[in-house]
Amino acid sequence: MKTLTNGIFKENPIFVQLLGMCPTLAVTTSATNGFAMGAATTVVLVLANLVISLIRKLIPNKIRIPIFIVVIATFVTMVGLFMKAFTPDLDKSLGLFIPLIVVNCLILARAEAFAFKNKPLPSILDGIGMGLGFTLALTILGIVREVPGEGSIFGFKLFSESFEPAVIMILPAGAFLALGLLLAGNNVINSKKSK
Amino acid sequence: MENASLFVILISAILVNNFVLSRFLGICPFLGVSKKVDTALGMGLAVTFVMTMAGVITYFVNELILEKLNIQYMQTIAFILVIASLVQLVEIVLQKVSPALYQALGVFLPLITTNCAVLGLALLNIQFQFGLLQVVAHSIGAAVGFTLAIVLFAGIREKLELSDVPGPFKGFPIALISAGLMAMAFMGFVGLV
Amino acid sequence: MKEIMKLGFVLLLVCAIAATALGFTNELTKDRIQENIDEANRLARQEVFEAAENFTLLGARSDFEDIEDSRVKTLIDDNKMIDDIYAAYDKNDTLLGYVMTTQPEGYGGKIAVILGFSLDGTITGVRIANHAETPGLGAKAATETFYNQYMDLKADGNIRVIKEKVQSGDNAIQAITSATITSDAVTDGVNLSKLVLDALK
Repeated sequence: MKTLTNGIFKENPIFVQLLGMCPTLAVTTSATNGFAMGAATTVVLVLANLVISLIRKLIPNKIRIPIFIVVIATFVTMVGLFMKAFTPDLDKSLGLFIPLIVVNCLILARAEAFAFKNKPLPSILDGIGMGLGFTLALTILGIVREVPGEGSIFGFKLFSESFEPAVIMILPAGAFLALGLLLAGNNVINSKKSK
Repeated sequence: MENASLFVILISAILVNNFVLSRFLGICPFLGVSKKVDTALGMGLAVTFVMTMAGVITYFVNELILEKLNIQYMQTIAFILVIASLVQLVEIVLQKVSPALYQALGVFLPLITTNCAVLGLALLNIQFQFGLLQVVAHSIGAAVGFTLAIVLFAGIREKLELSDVPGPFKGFPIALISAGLMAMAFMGFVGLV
Repeated sequence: MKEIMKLGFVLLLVCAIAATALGFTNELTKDRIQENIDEANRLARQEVFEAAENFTLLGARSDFEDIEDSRVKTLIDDNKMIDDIYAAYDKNDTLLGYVMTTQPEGYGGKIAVILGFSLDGTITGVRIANHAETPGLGAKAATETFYNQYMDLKADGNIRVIKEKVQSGDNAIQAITSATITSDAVTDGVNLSKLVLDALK
């Protein structure tokens, strides 16, 4: 079970490993978007980890990266098609970044570092753990940007009509600033822990 | 009218809709490679080549194969395979033509495959329904914009290394905040075109 | 050499399996996806023609050969900007007007303009779908403050784009500051309404 919690705290993909930056900054304009992106990525991550772990003995080492990519791209396309069919509004908000899950360095990194070298069950757990850590980070960033930027959380209005949102928070600049501050905060927490 | 469009597409991709600071594409290498200006420049040039070629080739793949056979759902796989092959090609050619540059770029060269800016560009070209000339303008503009962002950022980070940054902000936090300020500065270009 | 062949074959095999899996998924989802697209389009038509209850397709560029009405066929053939034309009916099946999708060339590429206009020659609504215009400038065309300007204007092919504030009763819209080309493009699309009304009298 350590495999599971590893991805959430100790090796959190965003706060610690700094993988998967592009979607992190782009889709966290609201908590719902951040969460949805995290969920979609987790599904791809778990399925890809599972399949790659299952066929790991059959993959020739020299072409393992292209094969990882094809497997990941297949699941990304599947998730994309299902979202277009059953959650069209989410598909529209996440837009370009759904197919871009295929180049999320997080998934390729887990395939290479874990799934290729481990049995299916631990690989599934690693996928779930990393995915949860990723989703958690995206949702937090989404909340940090949505509350001051739109005055709402998961779409529920928090303040009265007269609230003037700090629109910068949902613009690109705000994304960088929010993440920078969160990382600094994380560093403070970590250094206090080790004291 | 066509020419006005081309120029606007080019300039806006570089400044107003900068792929890194505005569209959030290419963040991984943006944060990862940009510690030194010359490495950043080398990376930028390699990416420019791959992006321009990828933009054009994926346009044709879409027009001549995917659309004709009505298999648009294969777009993601087809595009990423094109990009991976292009990067492989660039690696082989670079090894023969300029071993020094090949060594300098090191592991970052194969990483261009996972650069969301390249795949993102290919997908945007289709989404905006660009014709061939517009694809070329857009691809070059996007690549130049990426290079511009990454080189400027490297310059800023080189200076940051030498300054006195408070503890928790050292490293990535201060880098991200600087990127945020850069993004705000680039927002000023909105009135340009 | 033999090794490259073997590697190539494995890669090809993986791709083939992937393609099959995707083809299967596509079959599963494509009807639902088309339903979603159709529903979104229907909602868009409803937005630009509130008084209408149902819409029937008169002709679309994507299905050119199947267009029954020769006048519609000529309209679409002669005007590269027109994508499709729908007839708008009320709940008693009385023809109220038309809804049309046009794709004029804007600053950064094509702009998808959906417009509704009634038989008595008034614009009932305009919406912007796809566009690649500049954020903060041309992209403002996709905001209510801009496209609502067209409501109740005359569909006489002569809606003007002016820089100053529009006087009451004037058949004109105010251009977006520094985005005249975008404003002109959208207006060109809307002005095609006159051609349709004339052709289908």
